[in-house]
Amino acid sequence: MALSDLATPGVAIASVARNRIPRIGVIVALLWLALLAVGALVAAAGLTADPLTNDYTVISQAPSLAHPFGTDNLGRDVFSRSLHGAGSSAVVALVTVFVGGGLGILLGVWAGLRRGIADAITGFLTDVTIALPSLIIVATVVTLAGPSLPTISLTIAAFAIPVFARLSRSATLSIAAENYVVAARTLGASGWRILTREVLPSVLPVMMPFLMTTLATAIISEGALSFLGFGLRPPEPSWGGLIAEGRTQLALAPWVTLLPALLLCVTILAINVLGEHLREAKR
Amino acid sequence: MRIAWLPRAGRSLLVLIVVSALTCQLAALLPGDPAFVILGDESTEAQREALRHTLGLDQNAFVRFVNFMGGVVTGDWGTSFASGRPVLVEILSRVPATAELVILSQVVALAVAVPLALHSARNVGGKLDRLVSTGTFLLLAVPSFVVGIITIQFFAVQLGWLPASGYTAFVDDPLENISHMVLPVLTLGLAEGAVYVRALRGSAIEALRSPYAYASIVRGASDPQLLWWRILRPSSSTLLALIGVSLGVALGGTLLVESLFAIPGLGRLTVSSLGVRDLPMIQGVVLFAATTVVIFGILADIAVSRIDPRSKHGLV
Repeated sequence: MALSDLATPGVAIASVARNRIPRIGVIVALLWLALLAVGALVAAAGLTADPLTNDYTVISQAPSLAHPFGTDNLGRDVFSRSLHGAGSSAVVALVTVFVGGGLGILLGVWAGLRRGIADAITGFLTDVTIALPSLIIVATVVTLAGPSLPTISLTIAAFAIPVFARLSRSATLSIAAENYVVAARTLGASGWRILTREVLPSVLPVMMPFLMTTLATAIISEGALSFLGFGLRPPEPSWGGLIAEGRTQLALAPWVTLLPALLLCVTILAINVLGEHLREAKR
Repeated sequence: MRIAWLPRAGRSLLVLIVVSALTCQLAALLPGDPAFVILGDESTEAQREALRHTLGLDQNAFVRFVNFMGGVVTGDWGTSFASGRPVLVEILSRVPATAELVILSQVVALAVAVPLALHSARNVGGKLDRLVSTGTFLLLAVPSFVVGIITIQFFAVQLGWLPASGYTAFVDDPLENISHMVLPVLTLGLAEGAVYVRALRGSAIEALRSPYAYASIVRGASDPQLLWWRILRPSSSTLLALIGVSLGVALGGTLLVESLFAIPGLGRLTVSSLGVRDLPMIQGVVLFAATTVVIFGILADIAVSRIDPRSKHGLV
């Protein structure tokens, strides 16, 4: 139920005393993500087969050297489409982490330092956002405002804000009581200086594992959205869309669905491995 | 610290009012003309004008909100564009299928998760523990729509054991109902179970380090006695909170599973309403979903304070 956990990524994987992630796992995860990033960039630069061109001479072909992931029922290269889909997923994931996570952390730290009315308002808005069904709202916004990458990523990002506001607020509360913050305050440092120089550098490392979790949930959310048909408009490739498109020919051409699905799962796994590693490193 | 119930309830009510306010402004907040989006470019200006009137878009935001709230309170949640039936009636008629799906998957998730979590917590680093940890970690990387596709392909198409999609009400034909429910319940329950195992295992390990667990062990309690009678209860607050959250947000998860398995529940209603841009229906579903989140949040709080009295005194 990874998807609707968008509002609660932190709770989802939080637990103590886990088995350690082997070092080789971390290296493989990093390599995989780097490889995928290069692949997505190469595809975006137009160096792979055109993801939208139908080639009726190679309909539903099994994976081969010419088409590593095979072709779909319109003769489009599934590998190239998957790499383009990786690009869209990466945009959504990065926007969610930087915009949603960034704003959320700033808001939480601010509320935690100011306390009082600012804190109460932020807390209330967080409650409201968490009560909203994220997937339904995102799908509605995309339906009414038109499916585009900025709309999709910013709406998904909006739902990450309250999560980070809540998490970073409680982190700030404990940090604000530390001696070095109290010392800075006594020395007459401005509120902004305390926020950027003293508190943020301590809050950010605490938030890193949650940021990784959010990276994964954002990719899953985008996948679910496209899978339901509310993502980028076909034939524009996205992971969820590819997986949904191939469903009808699963028996005939399983690679059209299963290889993009595998790509998606391995990527989520790699991100989770890194998140887990960061969580362990913190301890 | 005792939970102050009155402020908690008041705050929840305020959350729901703000959610309603946002919901009824949904169409107006978005760029473009919703009447145009809903009716398409072949509609006449008169048709669009009539729709704007129906949606209250020709009034100002405050009047729209007051009318909407009045309707919500009196049970008039508007009329569906698609079916012409009242929104609330339509929503309530879809609840049984979704409730069955959600409840069964929670039962399956817990039935698998609780024993696995407790026993792997007893032998951290043991064979079972490593298997469970690795298994759930892998499972967490597979989104439910992928799990669904794979189960359909394997159990329904290749083995032909179970139907791939469809739904029969339990009262009409219990056996048929169950056979249609197995795959969707597995799909939802597996993902939930993985999260539950990891959460409960963590709290159980902590509880097992406590003096009372140690006392119980030296007095010769067997593993099942120790785990089920001494450890489960104090370890379950995180789990209960998680169950509250997942019941609350269940609607989001059923969107995918119900579409995939063609179950006529709330999730499918939402998807089809979005497809035909049935705005009153979508508003109703959003409000209904928000209400379930709030209610299950409160219920989880109550459950935690009942099952773990320490939480009332701020001891955990």
